[in-house]
Amino acid sequence: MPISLFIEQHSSGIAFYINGDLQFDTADEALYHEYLVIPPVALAQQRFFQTDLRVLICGGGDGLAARDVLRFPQVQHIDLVDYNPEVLELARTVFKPYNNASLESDRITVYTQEAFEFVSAIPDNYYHVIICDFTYPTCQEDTSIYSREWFQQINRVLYPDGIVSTNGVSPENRTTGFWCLYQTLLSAGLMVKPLQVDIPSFRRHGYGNWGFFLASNRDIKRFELERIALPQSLQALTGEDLWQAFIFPDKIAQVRHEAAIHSLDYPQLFYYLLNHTFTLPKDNDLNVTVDFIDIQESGNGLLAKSDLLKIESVAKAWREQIYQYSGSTDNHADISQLLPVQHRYHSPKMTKEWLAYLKQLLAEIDLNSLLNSLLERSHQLPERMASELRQLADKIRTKQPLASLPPQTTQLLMVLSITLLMANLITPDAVFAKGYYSGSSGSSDDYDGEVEGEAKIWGFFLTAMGGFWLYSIFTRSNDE
Amino acid sequence: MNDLTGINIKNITVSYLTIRQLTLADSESWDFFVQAAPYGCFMQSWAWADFKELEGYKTFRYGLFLDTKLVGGCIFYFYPHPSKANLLIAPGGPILPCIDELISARTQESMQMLMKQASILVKELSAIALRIEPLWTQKPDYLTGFVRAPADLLPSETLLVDLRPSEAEILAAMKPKGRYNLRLSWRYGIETEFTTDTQAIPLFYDFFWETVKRQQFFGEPYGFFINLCQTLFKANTAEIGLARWRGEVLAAIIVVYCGHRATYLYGGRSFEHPEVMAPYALHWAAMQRAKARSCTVYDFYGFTRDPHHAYSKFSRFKSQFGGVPVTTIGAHDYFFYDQLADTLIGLLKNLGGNNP
Repeated sequence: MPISLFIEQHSSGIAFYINGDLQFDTADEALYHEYLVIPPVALAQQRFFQTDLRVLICGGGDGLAARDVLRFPQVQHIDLVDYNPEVLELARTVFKPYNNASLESDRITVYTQEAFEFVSAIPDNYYHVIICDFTYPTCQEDTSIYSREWFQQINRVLYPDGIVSTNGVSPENRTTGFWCLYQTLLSAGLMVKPLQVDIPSFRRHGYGNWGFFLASNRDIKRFELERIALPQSLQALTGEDLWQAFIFPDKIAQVRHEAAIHSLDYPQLFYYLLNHTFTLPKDNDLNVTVDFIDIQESGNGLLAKSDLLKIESVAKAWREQIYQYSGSTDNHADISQLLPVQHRYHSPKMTKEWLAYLKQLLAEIDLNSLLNSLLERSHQLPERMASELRQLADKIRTKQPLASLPPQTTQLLMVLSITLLMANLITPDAVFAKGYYSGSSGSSDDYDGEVEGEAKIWGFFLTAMGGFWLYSIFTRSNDE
Repeated sequence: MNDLTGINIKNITVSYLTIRQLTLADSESWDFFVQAAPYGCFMQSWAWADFKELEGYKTFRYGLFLDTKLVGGCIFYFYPHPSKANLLIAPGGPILPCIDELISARTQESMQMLMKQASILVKELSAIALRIEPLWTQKPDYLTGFVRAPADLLPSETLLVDLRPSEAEILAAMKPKGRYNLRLSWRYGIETEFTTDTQAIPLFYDFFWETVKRQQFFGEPYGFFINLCQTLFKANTAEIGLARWRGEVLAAIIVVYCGHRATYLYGGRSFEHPEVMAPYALHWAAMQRAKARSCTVYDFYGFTRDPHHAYSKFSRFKSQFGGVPVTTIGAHDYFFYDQLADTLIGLLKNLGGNNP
C-alpha cells in the first residue's frame, strides 16, 4: 500500500504524519521517545555491566529513537531497519535538527528493508536491546509486525536477559487492542511490563493516552528498575514519572483477561483497533489501580480460532445470534461481531446504519437469477437445501403464495444478507454513501412494478428470517 | 468519416472499438477526455484515481478507442479484502461516447465492452457486483440488469450554478436574501484566498471537523484530506479556499476542478462571527475563481428540496446562490450472480463446520 507523508510547520517546530497519523510533534516528542528508549537501554546497561551493547531499532526511520539510544556510551552499535526510504531521507535532512543527526553517527548502520525480513536473517541471541517503533496499523497487513510470530523472532534474536521495548496503542482508547499486544508478547515467551503515558499532541488528535511495553526473556524486577541510572539532560522522563507509568486503573487492566493473542493465522489486533467496545469508567472508578511493576504474568491468553473481520466469522456470529434470539426475548447481540467495523475511517455508528438498508439491498437481487445460479451449483449444496431451493423456485415461478420459509432457505437468506451488507461495508467509500430516499425528490422510479414485487418477497423473507431480531438490533444501536 | 459511428462512407471502411488498460502515458489524454466529456466527473480523473490508490484502493483504468482515438472508458476502483464479498465501483463512471446522440448502437457496444472487462475483473478479484455512478440524468435503455443501489457516493441531487453569464447577471440570479448576505460580507471586508499550499490543510481541517461535530455528520479523518490535497494540488485540480475577517480565518472550503465543472467538495466554518457572513463571500469568490479557470458550472455537490432531509439546512444556504437543482440517475448495481452464488455456497459450507 502506498504511504503518504506530511510535515506540518508550526511557529516553533514541526509535526510529522504518516498516512494521516501523527508520528511526532517536536513540541512533545521527547515524551514518547524517552519512554520508549531510555528504560530498556538503561536496564540493559545495568544487566550487561561493562559490556558493549548491540541495539536494534525496528522502524524509527525518523532518527529520534536513535538519538536517545546514542545518549548511552555503553551502546557500541545500533542497527536501524526501516522500510521507507523517504522517511529515512527526511531523517537526514528536515528532521536532522531534531534527531541531532543521529543517522550520521558512526555507531549506527541503517538498513532500508522490511523489519520482519531483516530480523528473520539475524542469528539467535544477537541484540542486547530491541526497540520497536512502528507506525499505527492502518490495515490488516500492517499488523504482522505486532504478531506472535514477530515477537517470537524478536525473542529469538534477543540476547538472554536482553530487553525489548515496543510502542503499543492507547490503553484508554484502544483498550482491548492494547491488551491484545500484551497477551501476544506473553505468548511469545516474553515477560512484559505495560506502561502508559500522556502525550499532549496525541491527546489533541483524539488518540487518548499512549502505551508501551517493556519486556525481556527474564522477569523484570522492581529492584532493577529502582536502580537504573537515567542519562543526564532528559527532556521529559523522570524516575518518579516512570514508576507512575506502570500503574493502570483496575477497570482498564481487567480487560487484559478478555483479549486474544494476535497471530498471523488468526489476526485479532486490527479487529480490536477498529471495534473498540470498552468504555472508560467514570473518574471515581479509576481510583483502584494495578501496579504492573509488582505483577509478572505468564502467557495464558486466549488463542483465537477465527479472524473476526472475515465474512465467515460474521456469518457464524449471525447464526448464533439468530438461534439465541429465537429462544429468548432478551437480546444482547454483540454488534461488533455481527457487523464489525472494517475500515479505520468508519465508526460503529456508520456501520450500523447500513442495517437500515438491508431490505433495499435484498430488493436489488433478482431472485430468479440467483436461484438459477445456485441450482446450477446444486451438487455443491446439501441435498435438503437444493431440494428446498427447487421448490422455492417453482413457487416463485408459478406465483404461489409463500406460507413459510424452510429452515435451510432461511440460512441461505441469512448469508445473502450478510454478503450484501459486507460488500458495502468493506468498500470504504460505500459506507460514506448516502441514501437518497429520505423524502428527497430523487429518482426512485427505477423500482417498477416487478421490482416492487421482488421487494415484497424479500420483505417476507426478512420477516421469516428473524426480522424482529434485526429490527431490535437496529433500534437498540440507534438508542445507544 | 462519421467520427462516432466509425463508418467511412466514401471508402467503405469500418472502424472498430477496442478496449485496453490505460498506462501512465495515457494519463494526459484520459484527463483531457474526461474534462471534455459532457458527463465527465472528477472521480474519473487520473489524479483522483492516484489519490484513491493512496487510500488503499486498487484502480483499473480502461480506455475505449475508435482506431487510436480515445472515445470512452472507465476507472474501476476496488478495495482489497480477504472476504469474497466485495464491490467493484466506478463513481462518476463509466464515460461513454456521446450518450445523448443518436448512435446508441455504438454507445451500447461501448457499455458491453466495459461490462465484459468488469466481469473479468470481478472474477479475478472475487467481487460480487459492479456499482456504477455516472452523472447521467436519464437511465438509458441499454443499462439492462442494473438496479438502483440504496445509497449514493456522489449526491444524486445537486445544485448547479451557471457561470456563463456575467458577474452582475449571476448576482442578479441569486435570491434576495443571499444577495443581501453576500453584500453584507463585502461590507464587513471579508477577504478570500485560494491556495494549493499544503500547509492550509490543517487550517481547513479544523473548520471541517468543527462543522462535522456540530452537525453530527460522518466526517473523514485528517489523513484523508492530507492524501486528497497532496495528490490533487500536485495535479492542479483542487484548491483550498479561505475566508478571513480581521486576519482570522472563519471558513474554509475545498474546490475540485474537472473540465467545465468546479465542485465544492468539502467545507467548514467557525462558530465565531456568523454575522459577517464569511461563507457567502467565500463561495462567491470560488465561483469567480472557477469562472476565471474557464469553468461554466459551479456544483454545490448535494442538495435537497425536502425540508426533512438531513441536508435541508445546507441546501437552504446553497439555494441562496440561485442555481438549478439537477438529479442524476444515482448509483446502480449490476450483480454477477455466478460469483454471488459461489460466495453464498462457500459461506454455507463454512457454516457446516469448516473454520474461517
